Amino acid sequence: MKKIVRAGLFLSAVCSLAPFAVSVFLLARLTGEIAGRRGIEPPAALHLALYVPRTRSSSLDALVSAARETAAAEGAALSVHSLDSDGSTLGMAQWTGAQGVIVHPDGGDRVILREMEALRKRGIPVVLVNHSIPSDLPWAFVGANNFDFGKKAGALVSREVRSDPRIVVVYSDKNPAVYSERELVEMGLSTVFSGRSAQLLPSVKTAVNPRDAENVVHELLRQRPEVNVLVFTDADDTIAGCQALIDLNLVGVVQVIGYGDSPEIRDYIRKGVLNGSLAVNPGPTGAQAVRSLIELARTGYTSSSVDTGIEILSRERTAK
Amino acid sequence: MSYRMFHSFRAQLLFNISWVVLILVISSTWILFSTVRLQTLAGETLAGQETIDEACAALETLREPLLEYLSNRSSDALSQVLILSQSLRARLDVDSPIPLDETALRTRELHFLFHSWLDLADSAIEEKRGMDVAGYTARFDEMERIRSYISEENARLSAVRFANQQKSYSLFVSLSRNIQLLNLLFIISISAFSILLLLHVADKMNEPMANLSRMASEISAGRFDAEDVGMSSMHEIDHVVEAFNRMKRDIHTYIQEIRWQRNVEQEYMNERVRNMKMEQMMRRMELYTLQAQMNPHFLFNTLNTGIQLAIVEGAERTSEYMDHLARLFRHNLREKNVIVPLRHEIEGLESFFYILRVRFPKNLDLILDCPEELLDAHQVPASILQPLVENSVVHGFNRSEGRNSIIVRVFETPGRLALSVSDNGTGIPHEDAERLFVHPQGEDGLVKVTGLANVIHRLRFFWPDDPGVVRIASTGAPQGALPGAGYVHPAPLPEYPGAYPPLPELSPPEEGSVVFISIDTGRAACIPS
Repeated sequence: MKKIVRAGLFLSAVCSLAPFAVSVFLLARLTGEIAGRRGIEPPAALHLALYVPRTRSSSLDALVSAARETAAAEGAALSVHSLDSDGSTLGMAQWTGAQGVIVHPDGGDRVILREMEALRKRGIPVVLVNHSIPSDLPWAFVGANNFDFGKKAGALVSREVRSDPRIVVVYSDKNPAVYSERELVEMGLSTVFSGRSAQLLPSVKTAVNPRDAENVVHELLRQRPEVNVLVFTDADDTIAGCQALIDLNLVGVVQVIGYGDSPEIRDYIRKGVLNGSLAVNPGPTGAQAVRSLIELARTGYTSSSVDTGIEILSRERTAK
Repeated sequence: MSYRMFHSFRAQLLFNISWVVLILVISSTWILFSTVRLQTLAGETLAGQETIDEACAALETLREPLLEYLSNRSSDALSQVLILSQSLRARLDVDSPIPLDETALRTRELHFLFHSWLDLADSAIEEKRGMDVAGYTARFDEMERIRSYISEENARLSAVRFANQQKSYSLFVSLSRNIQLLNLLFIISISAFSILLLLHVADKMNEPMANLSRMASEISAGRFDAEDVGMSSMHEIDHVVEAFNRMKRDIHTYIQEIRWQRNVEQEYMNERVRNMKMEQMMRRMELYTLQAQMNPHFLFNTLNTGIQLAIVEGAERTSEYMDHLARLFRHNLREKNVIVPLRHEIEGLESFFYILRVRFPKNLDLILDCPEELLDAHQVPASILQPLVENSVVHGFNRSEGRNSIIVRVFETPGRLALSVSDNGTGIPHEDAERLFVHPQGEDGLVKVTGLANVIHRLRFFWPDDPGVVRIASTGAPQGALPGAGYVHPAPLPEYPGAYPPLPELSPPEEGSVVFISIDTGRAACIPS
């Protein structure tokens, strides 16, 4: 009897302690989860705001993500806002308590410039990313040089097409950074082909639909069969355009310079559908923008322009 | 004192019950705490939106009097604006640390927007006072943009917060269900633990009482040599146990003393009875001796006359025979001692042998084997060998053919003197031997002073606690047994008590009987003559 009571005591003690311990653990976890969701965390040192185009793309998402990670790593809080056409969202930046603003313009340069000047008047530092705005005042800029983009695209074309390249650049609303500086892109291309019998034909533009390029390429090549070089400025457009060329059985007839560095694009390069691709990695751009803004907010100074570079993906490089 | 207080029955009871109550209180507290905490967390998951909604409502309320003031400079409207503005500012949290979470950060931005709106309202009021129409008009436009943005941003944040709350609530529901299940299991287990703990405590407190009860039963059954009852940890019970153990030991000692006294008395009574019997026997023997000595001088003179007559007539053998007869009579009639030297006993036996040889010259062999050095070294009860030889002659040889023989041997074993009288006669029937040992006296209580019975009786009288003092081995078969089957009586022989050497083995002879006497020489020397 004694042994049974003792064994029962031990068993019931274990059966009591085990659920008690798990219950305490679960309650602590629940408290932590809810506290975490409510923002009970170590406070940030700086309040930054990032304004990006309303139209989102994968490259833009990567930029935002990198900016968030860098801000968290640097101990700064980052709120992300979408720009609107009248600039009212950006206009509110001066009233939100933000201590620094990163702007990724999507066109509408004058409105953005106006709001940026209002921010400067209130002593709020501003950094531009991917797209600089012509202005009398120097604005800190972080991003790829679109003139350089045009030059590197031209270099790829001249390497692949020996005679009479008739080039069409396919811009896109999905990558407004390039579209908004299309003059610089075309200047870069022209620089490469100066003195040669190359023609830079009028460009075309796709909308935000990721499959839009397929239709655009179909129309372009039917209406202008003389085109033998296509230069894309968006990753989704590159993939859709390649699919159109395959459908039209024009692979090898029309040379294609793509944009981006996705597995599908690398695959097209290896198969010879694409002659090469120009990749602008948005992650470093977003991270560098945050770092530059923090530097500007803390010291009042930063580099006026940081070129995050353009990478060329050629067939040889992809093969490695 | 404190030890006694702590180990008192009441303190132990209070202590153990307090333990159980404490466990139950702690477990109930945990259940209450976890329930309250879950309710708080449920409230927190849905909190956060209310403040902004209230601020939005306050902003709308403030906008009317502000617009009224800007329109007609009403002092009432101004005072209302100031009051509402102060109230709204008190609700805003613009000095809090900057949160890393984006939703919280955008909520903070809303607070700043409210704050900026209020600052702009103050500026607009100042400009109205200063009649700066363009200034307060532009200011009011900006305030309206902010108000509009606040409204849009609040709607966006509400959606985001609702999505977050949904995730939090799902997690909350899942985890809280598990917590409540675990709490149920916990309360069941802890209740079982408490009940078992109470059982254990009750058992522990009851154990010494149960031991006492068991011991009382054993004592009432007369078993006082049981182990003492063990001590418990309770002072009062220990006190009772100690008293009980002491009482048990005292009773045990008292009973032991009573038993010892009774044994002593019993031994004393036995000794008295034995002495009385011995005195009675001595008196009877003296009576027989007197009867036998009625006229010894006449008998001896007659025998001497016969001896002289035989010498005169030249009958030397007759003379020698009568001489031995006279010695035998003298030995038997004049001996008054109970214990005599062995030499004396052997000399009497030699005379008896001479007479027997004369009587039975042809068919009786008499052998006496007694070392010379033993004759003066030991003492034996008087007249123990002659009756045995006479018994063999009278009862042992009723056959007509063959030679009969009687052998008397005396030898020494460690600590004992052994005397054996063996014959090759018909043996002693088992029933007779049984009767000799079991009923040495007749039914009337009188001693039959005849041969073997006399010797057995006397030897067992002198050595009452030595059953091996006289034994009989014989070929005489018990009734129904095969002829020739031997036995030794008494058999089996009990172990001799004390530190005396073991008795010699005795085996039944091939024919006839052996009467074997084994005398403890040490004790024989102590018997008074």
